[in-house]
Amino acid sequence: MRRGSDEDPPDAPDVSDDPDPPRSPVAQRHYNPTEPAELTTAIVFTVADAMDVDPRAVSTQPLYECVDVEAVETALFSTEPVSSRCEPDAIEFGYTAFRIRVQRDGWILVFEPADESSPE
Amino acid sequence: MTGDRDDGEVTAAAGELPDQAVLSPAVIELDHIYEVLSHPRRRYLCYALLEDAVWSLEDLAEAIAAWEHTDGPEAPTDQRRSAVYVSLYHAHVPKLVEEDVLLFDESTETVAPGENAHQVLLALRGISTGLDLREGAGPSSETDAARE
Repeated sequence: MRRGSDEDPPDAPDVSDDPDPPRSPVAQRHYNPTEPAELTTAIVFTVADAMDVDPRAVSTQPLYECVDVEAVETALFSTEPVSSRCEPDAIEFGYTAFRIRVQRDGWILVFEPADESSPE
Repeated sequence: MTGDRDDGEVTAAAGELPDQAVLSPAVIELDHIYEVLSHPRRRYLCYALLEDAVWSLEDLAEAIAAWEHTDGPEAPTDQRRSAVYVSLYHAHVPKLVEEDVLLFDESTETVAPGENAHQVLLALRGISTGLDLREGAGPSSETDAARE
Protein backbone atom coordinates (compact mmCIF):
# COMPACT_ATOMS: atom_id res chain seq x y z
CA MET A 1 0.00 0.00 0.00
CA ARG A 2 2.93 2.34 -0.02
CA ARG A 3 3.67 2.68 -3.69
CA GLY A 4 1.74 5.62 -5.02
CA SER A 5 3.81 6.14 -8.10
CA ASP A 6 2.09 6.22 -11.43
CA GLU A 7 5.13 4.90 -13.18
CA ASP A 8 5.32 1.29 -14.24
CA PRO A 9 5.55 -0.70 -11.06
CA PRO A 10 8.78 -2.61 -11.48
CA ASP A 11 8.79 -6.33 -10.90
CA ALA A 12 10.73 -6.28 -7.70
CA PRO A 13 13.05 -9.22 -7.93
CA ASP A 14 13.86 -10.71 -4.57
CA VAL A 15 17.07 -12.33 -5.60
CA SER A 16 19.98 -10.84 -3.81
CA ASP A 17 22.72 -13.39 -4.41
CA ASP A 18 22.79 -12.71 -8.09
CA PRO A 19 26.04 -10.83 -8.73
CA ASP A 20 24.33 -8.59 -11.25
CA PRO A 21 20.66 -8.64 -10.37
CA PRO A 22 18.14 -6.86 -12.53
CA ARG A 23 17.56 -3.52 -10.94
CA SER A 24 14.83 -1.00 -11.24
CA PRO A 25 15.76 2.64 -11.40
CA VAL A 26 14.46 5.05 -8.78
CA ALA A 27 14.31 7.75 -11.43
CA GLN A 28 14.74 8.07 -15.12
CA ARG A 29 14.70 10.79 -17.73
CA HIS A 30 15.24 10.86 -21.43
CA TYR A 31 18.02 12.98 -22.85
CA ASN A 32 17.87 14.20 -26.40
CA PRO A 33 21.37 15.04 -27.61
CA THR A 34 20.03 17.14 -30.47
CA GLU A 35 18.40 19.60 -28.09
CA PRO A 36 20.39 22.39 -26.49
CA ALA A 37 19.94 21.11 -22.92
CA GLU A 38 23.19 19.74 -21.57
CA LEU A 39 23.78 16.13 -20.56
CA THR A 40 25.12 17.29 -17.21
CA THR A 41 21.87 19.08 -16.52
CA ALA A 42 19.79 16.08 -17.56
CA ILE A 43 21.75 13.78 -15.26
CA VAL A 44 21.50 16.11 -12.27
CA PHE A 45 17.76 16.62 -12.84
CA THR A 46 17.33 12.85 -12.83
CA VAL A 47 19.26 12.60 -9.57
CA ALA A 48 17.04 15.35 -8.17
CA ASP A 49 14.01 13.25 -9.14
CA ALA A 50 15.52 10.30 -7.32
CA MET A 51 16.12 12.44 -4.22
CA ASP A 52 12.79 14.21 -4.61
CA VAL A 53 14.42 17.62 -4.27
CA ASP A 54 14.89 20.76 -6.35
CA PRO A 55 17.75 20.24 -8.84
CA ARG A 56 19.61 23.15 -7.24
CA ALA A 57 19.69 21.18 -4.01
CA VAL A 58 21.82 18.45 -5.59
CA SER A 59 24.93 20.14 -4.31
CA THR A 60 26.94 17.61 -2.38
CA GLN A 61 29.55 17.48 -5.07
CA PRO A 62 29.84 18.79 -8.63
CA LEU A 63 29.24 16.02 -11.15
CA TYR A 64 32.36 17.31 -12.90
CA GLU A 65 34.47 15.83 -10.13
CA CYS A 66 33.02 12.33 -10.60
CA VAL A 67 32.85 11.81 -14.31
CA ASP A 68 33.93 13.41 -17.54
CA VAL A 69 30.48 14.14 -18.91
CA GLU A 70 31.88 15.49 -22.16
CA ALA A 71 33.56 12.13 -22.74
CA VAL A 72 30.31 10.30 -21.95
CA GLU A 73 28.51 12.55 -24.39
CA THR A 74 31.07 11.86 -27.09
CA ALA A 75 31.18 8.11 -26.48
CA LEU A 76 27.41 7.68 -26.56
CA PHE A 77 25.99 10.44 -28.68
CA SER A 78 28.67 11.61 -31.06
CA THR A 79 27.19 12.16 -34.49
CA GLU A 80 30.49 11.89 -36.22
CA PRO A 81 30.71 8.90 -38.52
CA VAL A 82 32.62 6.14 -36.85
CA SER A 83 34.25 3.12 -38.30
CA SER A 84 36.22 1.32 -35.70
CA ARG A 85 35.59 3.43 -32.66
CA CYS A 86 34.52 1.69 -29.53
CA GLU A 87 30.81 2.23 -29.13
CA PRO A 88 29.48 1.34 -25.70
CA ASP A 89 25.73 0.81 -25.28
CA ALA A 90 25.80 2.47 -21.91
CA ILE A 91 28.14 4.04 -19.40
CA GLU A 92 27.71 3.68 -15.66
CA PHE A 93 29.28 5.59 -12.86
CA GLY A 94 28.74 6.36 -9.22
CA TYR A 95 27.61 9.75 -8.04
CA THR A 96 27.12 10.38 -4.34
CA ALA A 97 24.97 7.49 -3.10
CA PHE A 98 23.64 6.70 -6.54
CA ARG A 99 24.58 4.61 -9.49
CA ILE A 100 23.96 6.40 -12.78
CA ARG A 101 23.53 4.66 -16.11
CA VAL A 102 23.46 6.67 -19.33
CA GLN A 103 22.33 4.66 -22.33
CA ARG A 104 22.94 5.17 -26.01
CA ASP A 105 19.18 5.40 -26.54
CA GLY A 106 19.19 8.54 -24.40
CA TRP A 107 17.74 7.10 -21.21
CA ILE A 108 19.37 8.20 -17.99
CA LEU A 109 18.67 5.77 -15.16
CA VAL A 110 19.41 6.41 -11.51
CA PHE A 111 19.76 3.46 -9.17
CA GLU A 112 20.07 3.30 -5.46
CA PRO A 113 22.97 1.30 -4.14
CA ALA A 114 21.99 -2.36 -4.08
CA ASP A 115 23.40 -3.10 -0.64
CA GLU A 116 21.83 -3.15 2.79
CA SER A 117 19.64 -0.10 2.41
CA SER A 118 16.26 -1.81 2.69
CA PRO A 119 16.31 -5.56 3.04
CA GLU A 120 12.87 -6.84 2.18
CA MET B 1 65.16 46.50 -21.39
CA THR B 2 61.94 46.99 -23.24
CA GLY B 3 59.95 44.25 -21.52
CA ASP B 4 57.10 44.70 -19.09
CA ARG B 5 54.31 45.27 -21.46
CA ASP B 6 51.36 43.63 -19.84
CA ASP B 7 48.45 45.24 -21.57
CA GLY B 8 48.60 42.79 -24.46
CA GLU B 9 49.01 45.50 -27.04
CA VAL B 10 51.68 44.43 -29.44
CA THR B 11 52.46 47.53 -31.36
CA ALA B 12 54.64 45.97 -33.96
CA ALA B 13 56.21 48.52 -36.23
CA ALA B 14 56.32 47.81 -39.94
CA GLY B 15 57.28 44.20 -40.44
CA GLU B 16 58.93 43.96 -37.09
CA LEU B 17 58.18 40.76 -35.22
CA PRO B 18 57.89 40.95 -31.49
CA ASP B 19 60.82 39.26 -29.88
CA GLN B 20 60.43 36.56 -27.32
CA ALA B 21 60.77 38.87 -24.40
CA VAL B 22 57.54 40.56 -25.42
CA LEU B 23 55.54 37.41 -26.08
CA SER B 24 54.36 36.09 -22.77
CA PRO B 25 54.02 32.35 -22.32
CA ALA B 26 50.29 32.96 -22.01
CA VAL B 27 50.17 33.99 -25.65
CA ILE B 28 51.87 30.78 -26.68
CA GLU B 29 49.62 28.63 -24.55
CA LEU B 30 46.34 29.42 -26.18
CA ASP B 31 44.89 25.94 -25.81
CA HIS B 32 43.22 26.51 -22.53
CA ILE B 33 41.78 29.81 -23.71
CA TYR B 34 40.10 28.00 -26.60
CA GLU B 35 39.01 25.24 -24.27
CA VAL B 36 37.49 27.72 -21.85
CA LEU B 37 35.77 29.71 -24.56
CA SER B 38 34.63 26.71 -26.60
CA HIS B 39 31.27 26.44 -24.90
CA PRO B 40 28.68 29.20 -25.33
CA ARG B 41 27.66 29.08 -21.70
CA ARG B 42 31.25 29.56 -20.60
CA ARG B 43 31.53 32.53 -22.93
CA TYR B 44 28.47 34.03 -21.28
CA LEU B 45 30.03 33.34 -17.92
CA CYS B 46 33.17 35.18 -18.96
CA TYR B 47 31.12 38.07 -20.34
CA ALA B 48 29.55 38.27 -16.93
CA LEU B 49 33.01 38.61 -15.41
CA LEU B 50 33.73 41.53 -17.73
CA GLU B 51 30.70 43.24 -16.24
CA ASP B 52 31.25 42.41 -12.60
CA ALA B 53 34.06 40.66 -10.87
CA VAL B 54 32.11 38.84 -8.19
CA TRP B 55 28.87 36.97 -8.72
CA SER B 56 26.69 34.74 -6.67
CA LEU B 57 25.93 31.56 -8.55
CA GLU B 58 22.25 32.36 -8.30
CA ASP B 59 22.65 35.79 -9.94
CA LEU B 60 24.98 34.38 -12.54
CA ALA B 61 22.44 31.72 -13.51
CA GLU B 62 19.75 34.36 -13.67
CA ALA B 63 21.85 36.63 -15.91
CA ILE B 64 22.99 33.86 -18.24
CA ALA B 65 19.47 32.43 -18.53
CA ALA B 66 18.28 35.91 -19.53
CA TRP B 67 21.06 36.34 -22.10
CA GLU B 68 20.37 32.93 -23.59
CA HIS B 69 16.67 33.53 -23.67
CA THR B 70 16.26 35.34 -26.95
CA ASP B 71 12.91 34.01 -28.13
CA GLY B 72 10.49 36.20 -26.26
CA PRO B 73 10.13 39.29 -24.12
CA GLU B 74 9.06 37.41 -21.01
CA ALA B 75 11.58 36.32 -18.42
CA PRO B 76 13.03 32.83 -18.61
CA THR B 77 11.12 30.26 -16.60
CA ASP B 78 12.32 29.03 -13.27
CA GLN B 79 13.00 25.70 -14.97
CA ARG B 80 15.42 27.45 -17.36
CA ARG B 81 17.20 29.27 -14.56
CA SER B 82 17.42 26.04 -12.67
CA ALA B 83 18.93 24.27 -15.68
CA VAL B 84 21.53 27.02 -16.09
CA TYR B 85 22.34 26.97 -12.38
CA VAL B 86 22.83 23.21 -12.44
CA SER B 87 25.08 23.30 -15.49
CA LEU B 88 27.16 26.07 -13.93
CA TYR B 89 27.56 24.30 -10.60
CA HIS B 90 28.11 20.80 -11.97
CA ALA B 91 30.08 21.48 -15.15
CA HIS B 92 31.25 24.93 -16.14
CA VAL B 93 32.32 26.51 -12.87
CA PRO B 94 34.43 23.50 -11.79
CA LYS B 95 35.98 23.42 -15.24
CA LEU B 96 36.92 27.09 -15.06
CA VAL B 97 38.23 26.59 -11.54
CA GLU B 98 40.41 23.78 -12.84
CA GLU B 99 41.74 26.15 -15.51
CA ASP B 100 42.42 28.79 -12.85
CA VAL B 101 40.04 31.15 -14.56
CA LEU B 102 37.63 31.23 -11.64
CA LEU B 103 37.71 31.04 -7.90
CA PHE B 104 34.66 29.47 -6.35
CA ASP B 105 33.76 29.97 -2.74
CA GLU B 106 31.71 26.93 -1.84
CA SER B 107 30.34 28.36 1.40
CA THR B 108 28.98 31.57 -0.11
CA GLU B 109 28.47 30.09 -3.60
CA THR B 110 30.18 33.04 -5.23
CA VAL B 111 32.59 33.13 -8.13
CA ALA B 112 35.44 35.56 -8.67
CA PRO B 113 38.19 35.85 -11.29
CA GLY B 114 41.12 33.49 -10.89
CA GLU B 115 44.73 33.79 -11.94
CA ASN B 116 44.10 33.13 -15.64
CA ALA B 117 40.95 35.21 -15.91
CA HIS B 118 42.76 38.25 -17.22
CA GLN B 119 44.11 36.65 -20.38
CA VAL B 120 40.87 34.81 -21.10
CA LEU B 121 38.89 38.01 -20.74
CA LEU B 122 41.40 39.80 -22.91
CA ALA B 123 40.94 37.18 -25.61
CA LEU B 124 37.18 37.31 -25.27
CA ARG B 125 37.22 41.07 -25.52
CA GLY B 126 39.36 40.86 -28.64
CA ILE B 127 37.03 38.35 -30.28
CA SER B 128 33.97 40.36 -29.26
CA THR B 129 35.41 43.52 -30.75
CA GLY B 130 36.16 41.71 -33.97
CA LEU B 131 32.69 40.23 -34.16
CA ASP B 132 30.78 43.26 -32.96
CA LEU B 133 29.64 41.47 -29.81
CA ARG B 134 27.22 39.18 -31.55
CA GLU B 135 27.35 36.16 -29.31
CA GLY B 136 25.40 33.20 -30.51
CA ALA B 137 24.93 34.44 -34.04
CA GLY B 138 26.16 31.54 -36.08
CA PRO B 139 29.47 29.79 -35.90
CA SER B 140 32.09 32.06 -34.55
CA SER B 141 34.79 32.66 -37.06
CA GLU B 142 38.03 32.51 -35.21
CA THR B 143 39.50 35.58 -36.70
CA ASP B 144 42.28 37.55 -35.21
CA ALA B 145 40.83 40.40 -33.34
CA ALA B 146 40.43 42.76 -36.22
CA ARG B 147 42.13 45.99 -35.69
CA GLU B 148 42.23 48.95 -37.94
